[in-house]
Amino acid sequence: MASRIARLIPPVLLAGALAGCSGIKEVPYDHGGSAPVKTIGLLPPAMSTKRPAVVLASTVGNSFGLVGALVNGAMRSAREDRMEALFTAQHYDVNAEFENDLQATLEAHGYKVVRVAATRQKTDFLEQYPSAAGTEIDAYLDVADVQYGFLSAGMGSSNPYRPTIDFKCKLVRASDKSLLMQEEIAYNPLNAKDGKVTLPPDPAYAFVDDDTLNADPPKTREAFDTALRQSTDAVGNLLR
Amino acid sequence: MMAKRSVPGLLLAFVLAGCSHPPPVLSLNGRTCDRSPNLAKAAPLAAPGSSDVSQTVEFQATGACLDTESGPALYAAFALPAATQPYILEVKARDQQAQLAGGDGYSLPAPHLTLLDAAGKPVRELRAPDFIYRGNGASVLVRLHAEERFVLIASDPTLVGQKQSRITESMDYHFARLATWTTGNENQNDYVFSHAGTVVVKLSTVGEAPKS
Repeated sequence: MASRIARLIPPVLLAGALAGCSGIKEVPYDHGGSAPVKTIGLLPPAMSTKRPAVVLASTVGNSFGLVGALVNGAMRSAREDRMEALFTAQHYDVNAEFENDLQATLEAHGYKVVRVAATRQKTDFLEQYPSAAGTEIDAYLDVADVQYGFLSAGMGSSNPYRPTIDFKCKLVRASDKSLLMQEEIAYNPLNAKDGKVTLPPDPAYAFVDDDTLNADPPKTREAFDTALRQSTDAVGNLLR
Repeated sequence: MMAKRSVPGLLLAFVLAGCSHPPPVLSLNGRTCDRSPNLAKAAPLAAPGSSDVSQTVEFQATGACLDTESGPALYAAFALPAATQPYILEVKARDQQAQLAGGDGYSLPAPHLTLLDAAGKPVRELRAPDFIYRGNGASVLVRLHAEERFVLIASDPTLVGQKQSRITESMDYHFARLATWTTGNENQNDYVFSHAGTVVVKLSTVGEAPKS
């Protein structure tokens, strides 16, 4: 029984990591509410992923317990080394792009955006928000648990790598810290979860294997950049 | 004798029928429909407390229908509880496997939601762009306003028949006596909006408590 449980751990952990297990309650934004939000204080997103993940979700190694998991882990690490190098060579800063895209979508929906500095101890939502006294900020947008990278559901050319992004976000009124909106967004998730805003991947970007993923760096960058923009646009749409 | 001979055929037909999925309902032509929604028959939704309140509606081709400017539509109406605190209404159109013109795919009820006041006057309307795909269907979430006392859920004739395609990634776990393994698949699924299908209506309170 113990060995059976041990065999289950790697795939279960993997799926949990990809699915984002926070399970928050979805709270819609009430655009016609009594005190409309005009200016949003944009906090730096809390990244759970420190470098792009490159996940092959289902492999033969998953069937071989701890040894298989170790081999898989080493192979995944090698894939992520290459992707990190690719992003660096392309001068692609995910954190900066994420913030820029969030600001662009909020402005496109008519909000004024003020960047707000914050130090995060965790990858979760902030526990305390900065004082808005003396500012024009009506609400803070807090984006947390950001996981990103590329995902292939399984082996073979029918399961290409595509960009994947997963995060949660909430809008908190600056004056009384009341919750104005709270959602989770998943771009190309593995086993889409009920409740999360689920965005399908752009069919234009598919990379049949790790070598293809690294063969044309500008295209790989463009694929991820498109996914990121579609994901941040979803935040803007939730605040319509 | 004839009856005995037909048994295997009947069994085969039964099995095949069980394996095929119904096609989407693309037309309600020929139906005689209500000219206005019958709010007297609106099913009451209880006020949510510590747990959510939900009801599932099966829209069927023979169900209640309504004459709209865009043509006949299937519909269901619910009476909302008095807003003693802010409530969240979620209406979710569930996807389900269906036999499409080009093969197997999914049908999805074409959603159109109208919130009405106590006199039955429409105060807010939400259509397809407001519905967002979440997991296994398209849903809209709204915070109810005090004056909103009825919700009318109808199929949208302008959307029925339109197609969408979505790529999904999945992984399945398999268990055998001495081994466990996983298989992953990418699928390109085709969806067609239908008059019919399953719609889930849910009321909850605004709060930050994690879901159980």
